[in-house]
Amino acid sequence: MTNLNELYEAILGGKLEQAQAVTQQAIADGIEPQSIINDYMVKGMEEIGARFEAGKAFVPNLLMSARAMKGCLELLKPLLKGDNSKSAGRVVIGTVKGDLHDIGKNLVASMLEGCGFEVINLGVDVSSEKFIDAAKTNQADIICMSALLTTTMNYMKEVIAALEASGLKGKVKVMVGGAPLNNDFAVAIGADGYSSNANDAVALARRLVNA
Amino acid sequence: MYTRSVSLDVLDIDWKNIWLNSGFEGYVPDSQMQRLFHEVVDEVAEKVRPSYGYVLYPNEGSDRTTLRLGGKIFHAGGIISRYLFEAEEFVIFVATAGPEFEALQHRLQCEGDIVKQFMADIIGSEIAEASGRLLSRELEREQSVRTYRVSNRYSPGYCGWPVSEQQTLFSLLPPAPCGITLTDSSLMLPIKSISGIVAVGSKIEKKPYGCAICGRKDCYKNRLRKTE
Repeated sequence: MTNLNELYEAILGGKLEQAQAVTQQAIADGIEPQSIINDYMVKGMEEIGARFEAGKAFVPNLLMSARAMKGCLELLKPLLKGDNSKSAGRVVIGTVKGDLHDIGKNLVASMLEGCGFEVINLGVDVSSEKFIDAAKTNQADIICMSALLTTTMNYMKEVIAALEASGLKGKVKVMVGGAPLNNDFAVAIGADGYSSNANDAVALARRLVNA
Repeated sequence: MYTRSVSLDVLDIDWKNIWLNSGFEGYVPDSQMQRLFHEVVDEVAEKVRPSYGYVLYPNEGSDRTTLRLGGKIFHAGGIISRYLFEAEEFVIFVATAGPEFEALQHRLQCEGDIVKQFMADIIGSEIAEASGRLLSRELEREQSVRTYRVSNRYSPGYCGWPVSEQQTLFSLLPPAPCGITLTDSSLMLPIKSISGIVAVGSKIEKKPYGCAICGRKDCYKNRLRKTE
């Protein structure tokens, strides 16, 4: 019989191969996929997130856990049916035009994916048109923008203006992040939320989708 | 244009920068994490060939807000210009981790390993910066013969210097210097590249750190510096 606590520990420790081996065993034992995800994998992610918030885990630890979670979700996805197979939400993410820094943005994308969101990653140097087109095409719930430079962060305002002009403002939520930003800036440009790190971004995305 | 291509072992890779940019503020990662990073560096070292290059231009009457050289005007702003305007000459430079590094990043992306992608990203930035540091050391040696001092490196996009002036900066270099090209929005390809200006002259003062002259609280470099 599968010891699912080992799955929790493997997700927490970011051990992909070990996590996938336990998941395979759990599938073979006929354990309900949703229970594997919610009772063990998500709990492991929550714990690494809590440790990160407490300064006891670091960005690479978060990523390793997200990689393990994503690897296990790939095994479980074909077995998920009905409402339970719905993603947590659909996010279009990118670094704004004029900016090529994407470490933080990719980290947020990976964490969102690891936590069950569908992520459309547009890369770097993304124009407002590209953000809006991708949001429309993919019926996104959230546009997530990143900027690292003080000289590029103001472009976020242009994207929000374009979203308003397209009639999608309110239907598609906007969350922003990046080193030079803060919550005041997010409020001033009309974003729906700001997060200072990848772990917080997942919690914010959940709140925005459920709002 | 003077150019030089080097192997990774010639560069002074600063692991403190790698830990800091990986989020280990004030901490050294455990041995397992360090091993993972070193594995990626070993893979990178086999394939990459970083390079850098520069051109010297005389100062054509710069002032405290603009820098004038090569028949061009840079609106570098007060933060940068007031420390550089008294230069005898300016060095326009580029440095890059190179196309081989970009190819390696692309391969990691295709493989979908987000941990390795993250580590390679941080390492690539450090390779570009270490190439820039090597260039600075070389300049210092050369210019000291003329009893000139050398400033820190400053780049469009930082300290209030508009990133759009990359186009002007690149117009003072030969086409695709060190294999680097610019996009329409003035970003460099390969992505792990840096460009900028260095002032040389008898009145140039070397600051202990580039950010020491810029107090922008919202700049990530200042934030990182404060956590060191």
